[in-house]
Amino acid sequence: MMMRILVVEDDALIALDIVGLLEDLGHQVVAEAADADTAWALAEDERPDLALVDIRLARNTDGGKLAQQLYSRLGVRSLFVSGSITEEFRRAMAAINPIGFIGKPVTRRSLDDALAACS
Amino acid sequence: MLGAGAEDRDESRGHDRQSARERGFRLLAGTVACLFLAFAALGGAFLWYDASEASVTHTHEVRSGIGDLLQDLTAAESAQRGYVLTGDRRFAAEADKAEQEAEADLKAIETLTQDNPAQQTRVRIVRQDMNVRLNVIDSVMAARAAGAPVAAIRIMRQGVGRAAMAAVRRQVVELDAAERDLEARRKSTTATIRVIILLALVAFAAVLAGLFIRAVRDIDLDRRAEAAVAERLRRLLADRTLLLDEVNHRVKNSLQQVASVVRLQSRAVAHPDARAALDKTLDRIMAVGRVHEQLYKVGGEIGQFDAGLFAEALARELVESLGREDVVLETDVSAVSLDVRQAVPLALILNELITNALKYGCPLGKAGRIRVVLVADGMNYRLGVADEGPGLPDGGLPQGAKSLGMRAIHALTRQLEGEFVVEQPRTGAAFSVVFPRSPA
Repeated sequence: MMMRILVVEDDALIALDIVGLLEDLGHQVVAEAADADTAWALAEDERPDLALVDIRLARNTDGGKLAQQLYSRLGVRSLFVSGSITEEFRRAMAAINPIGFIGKPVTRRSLDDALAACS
Repeated sequence: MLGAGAEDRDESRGHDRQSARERGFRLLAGTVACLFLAFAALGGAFLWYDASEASVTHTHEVRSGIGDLLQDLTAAESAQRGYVLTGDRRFAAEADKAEQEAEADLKAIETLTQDNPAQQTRVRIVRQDMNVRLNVIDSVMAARAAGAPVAAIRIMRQGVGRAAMAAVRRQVVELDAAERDLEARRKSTTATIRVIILLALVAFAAVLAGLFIRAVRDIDLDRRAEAAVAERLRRLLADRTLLLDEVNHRVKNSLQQVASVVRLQSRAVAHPDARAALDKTLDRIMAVGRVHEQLYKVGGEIGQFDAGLFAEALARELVESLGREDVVLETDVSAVSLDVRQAVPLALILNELITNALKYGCPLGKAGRIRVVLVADGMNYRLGVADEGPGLPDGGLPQGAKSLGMRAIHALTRQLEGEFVVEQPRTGAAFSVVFPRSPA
């Protein structure tokens, strides 16, 4: 099932790679952002099906807070992709019903599995 | 974060604590010594007080003995007069009794004042005068008994007895005055001793209280120093944990950057060989990434690597990533805990062996089976990968023997100080790497 996805990742090359992977998997990336504020503005306009969110974002913004806002105001669930996913973070995010947590480096398979579980 | 200054502070804190403790012990020893001395002094003071009190009683006894003596002598005189006037024998008996008692009184005084030469002299004079007085009484009584009252009265009138009695009274007054002085002096000494004991008790209580307060303060100092050290260690640990998490995050992010670049390149090239080479590279990067992931799991124990778990997961992922649902993966892995230095070479070897087994041992369109073994073997570990494919050509060399993959396997095996073994199974191909448990 094709999904409209918002990608929030501050590293340009990693973002490019993830967008490529998502498109290979048959999804549509409707917007890309490097920081939480831009991501929020784009999400309000685009209303994606889900967001793929890095935890540490550009301009010292926080992917966790962004995901909470996305879920509480727009009902958009998040798939976290990060090099620093702690148990504490998992517990803190349990309330916003995340799609999953993927550690870096991301493989095609881990991304596919996480998205398949969602749809 | 930690400079020489912190270490100096550390040392001085440790020194503070040690000196505080030593002071505490010295205070304790001092307190115990003070207690012993105080008890000894208190015992001595009580003996002193007791002796002083006894000497006051002694003086008092002397004085009451003097009183008794005068009374008995007076009684003897009265009885004598009564006898002379009435001739009643009862008065004679009374006089005798009073005389005996006076003798006894003087004897007692003599004994009590043995330690006082001046008083002994006075007692001797009293005895002479008293004897004179008693002799006169005896003669008067004898005359009266002989039925000569007039003679008796004449003896009385001579005044020898009265003069002797006056002398006795004078001496007795001196005796008593001396004893009174003595009593007063001794009472004042006793009072002084009492004051000294009270003052000593108060001083002792003050010293004890002082020692107690200082000991409590030192203990508190020690406790606070300990709390400060614990707090510093806690902060240090938190800092280190934060730092480790940060480094861990950066390593993963860097691996992701490298993987992303390679994957982007792989997607950009048109030639299948070039794309396959890049995908292989990506697999190798991912193998390293997986090791890192498992080594530095946030909150996990750092430095040990569960190779069994890793081998199983990596094999499964490689098989699944190729979409080969017709390949069955069998694993036989023990919980093998490896040193960090062995983890990456082992992961890369496993990556190559499984890739090879999939490529050469499981031809497309034919169901295949791959078996991965990681077990303890004496002092060694043995990693084995076997397939059920066509096996090795007759030359015995594995296919692609000159390939980068095989060269890498040999090089990595050398790094593990192990041995690469090409086995000769009846079907398929099988390879093992046997390496020592801990690197030399």
